[in-house]
Amino acid sequence: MFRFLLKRLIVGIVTLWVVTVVVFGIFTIIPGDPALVYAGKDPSAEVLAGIRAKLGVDKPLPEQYATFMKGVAVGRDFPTGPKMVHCDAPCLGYSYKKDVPVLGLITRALPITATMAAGAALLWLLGGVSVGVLSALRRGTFFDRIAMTISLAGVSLPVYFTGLIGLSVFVYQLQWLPAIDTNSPFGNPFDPVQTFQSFILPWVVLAFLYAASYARLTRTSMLETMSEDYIRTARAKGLPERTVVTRHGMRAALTPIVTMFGLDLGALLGGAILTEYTFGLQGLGKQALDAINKFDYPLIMGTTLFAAFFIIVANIVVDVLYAFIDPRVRLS
Amino acid sequence: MTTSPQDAILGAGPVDPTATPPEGVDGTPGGPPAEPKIEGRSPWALAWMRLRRDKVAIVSGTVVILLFLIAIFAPLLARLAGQDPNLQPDDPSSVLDPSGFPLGSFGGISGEHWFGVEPVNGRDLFARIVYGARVSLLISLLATMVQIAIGVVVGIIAGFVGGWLDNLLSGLVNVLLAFPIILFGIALVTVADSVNRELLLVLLIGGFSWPYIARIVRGLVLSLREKEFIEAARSYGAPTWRIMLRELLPNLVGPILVYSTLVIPTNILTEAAFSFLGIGVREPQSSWGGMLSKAARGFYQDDPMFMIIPGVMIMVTVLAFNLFGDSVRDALDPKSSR
Repeated sequence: MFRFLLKRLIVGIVTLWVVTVVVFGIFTIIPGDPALVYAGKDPSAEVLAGIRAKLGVDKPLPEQYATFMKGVAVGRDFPTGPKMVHCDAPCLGYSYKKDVPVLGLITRALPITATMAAGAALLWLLGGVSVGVLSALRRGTFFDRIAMTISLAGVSLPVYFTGLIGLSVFVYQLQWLPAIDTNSPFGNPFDPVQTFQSFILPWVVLAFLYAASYARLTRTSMLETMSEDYIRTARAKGLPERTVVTRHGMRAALTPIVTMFGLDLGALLGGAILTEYTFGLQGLGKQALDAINKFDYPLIMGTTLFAAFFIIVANIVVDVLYAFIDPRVRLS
Repeated sequence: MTTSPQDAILGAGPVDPTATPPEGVDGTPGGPPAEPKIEGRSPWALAWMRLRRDKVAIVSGTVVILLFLIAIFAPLLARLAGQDPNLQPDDPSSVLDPSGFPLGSFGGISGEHWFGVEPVNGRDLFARIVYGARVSLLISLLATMVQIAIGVVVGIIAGFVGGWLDNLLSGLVNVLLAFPIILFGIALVTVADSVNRELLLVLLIGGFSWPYIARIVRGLVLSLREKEFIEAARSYGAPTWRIMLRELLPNLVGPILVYSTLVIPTNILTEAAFSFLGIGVREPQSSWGGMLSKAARGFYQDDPMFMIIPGVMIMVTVLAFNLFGDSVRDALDPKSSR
């Protein structure tokens, strides 16, 4: 088990490292001169060159990469205009447009994304899995057919369409919910009621999309498991149906769900761009999107790396969880 | 993806002549000892028979064909409606109120404007919707081809050649799977501003989503390469490329077909998402995602039809492709029963 863990960890770290190389390479090569941010109007070539030298962006690419990685490991200083700004480790770069370290911007946007992802995950996991299990157990009934039809529509509807419909109906027409205060969705100071009102639509919209595919996957997996021999054995030895379904059926049927859940949650934590954009919530995805429109490459690069980090961590967690749930994985 | 790659190995492919067609297709139980009519049917013929009997397949397949016809004959349809997708009315006040919203109920739907008109500039929505089908289908289909081509080549090489090449390619797949694609894509699209947008979208969607296909194909090849017919081909000295092309590829056609039909809807959604985020095809080209994007910027409250029509188009298209893809999979896979 320990060796398995170690191997997964090493693979994860190597993958992350390759991702940093690729992301750094691409975002450094593409145009967008950070010196222009600091230079005045119509700067001369010398002025620009001077600023570039100060920022260190005139150095060869490998050297810039080494500086960047050193920043991640031990922090570094940025000569921004008049003063030096220290960026603590892990330093993911410095946003010249906003004049703050990238990591600060990321940690400021993360609570919004995390709240959205966590709430939606809870909803879709409960909803999707229970609908899927019930559908499998009542295969072919009216409930099964209705549930599968709705879930098929669910996977075919883009979040920005359901999101707009939700806003149109519940905020604009019925006015059950106030318009989302995009500047402080949590309320200022923190207000649980306002938080709930801000996030309930994004939660439901996001959860609907995922619940639909989870219900379908759970149903297929459950149907497959319930036709296994050991289920018949369990029934034959007189176990109550409830025990057969929960202990024997669901435990095995839900392992693929664990995998999918981990990966989906990891990807969402890196920013749910479409949902955040639809509702105007300033999460990681929306912030990165705005950064792109302002050519703030350090911020995009930092967010991309951060998102990749979540995906890779989720991959490792899923593999380890899987090894715990399914002993066969460990042996191979 | 609800099936594991193994499930997708289907009876398709010409390589296994000893396989008998599954029973129950033309079963003649009981009856007098009259000579049972034995008829050879290729796995493809069997799949086609199953598909034709599937009501869902018929309906969704018809919708898919209709959508293609709409895309192909978009100019004709627009002319039939007497409209031009890019023409703004000479007198905007004939279709729009002073604040830029369509006159009349339901977004200005009338005998002249079948789907109403676009807010602010008053362009005909029906014409823009049918032209939008073009963009949506063309980009997603081409992206699917790119994705399948790269995925199949990488998958076959990684699975069949193995060794360090397999490690390298599998590593590449893992790195790509860890990339936040939309974020990265947006950055690239913004930078490559002068490049043809349609081409860029095709390369972006296709170029980033092939790892899934590659993984599946690699898995299939790993199990196929241990089969006797590959050993036979090797033993008479067939070169590697020949084994890949003539022995492996035919066996992969079925699963590849299934996954193609299932990734098309995903690609349609991705294209719409890019357009929604404002980095899809450029104005005045119309796209469904772009319309929703405009609707989101302050029009959906007072002109809901402008949001509903493109949204429903996306949903119907994706749904039809999903259902048809499911049916194709069921038809090609004798084991599956829903």
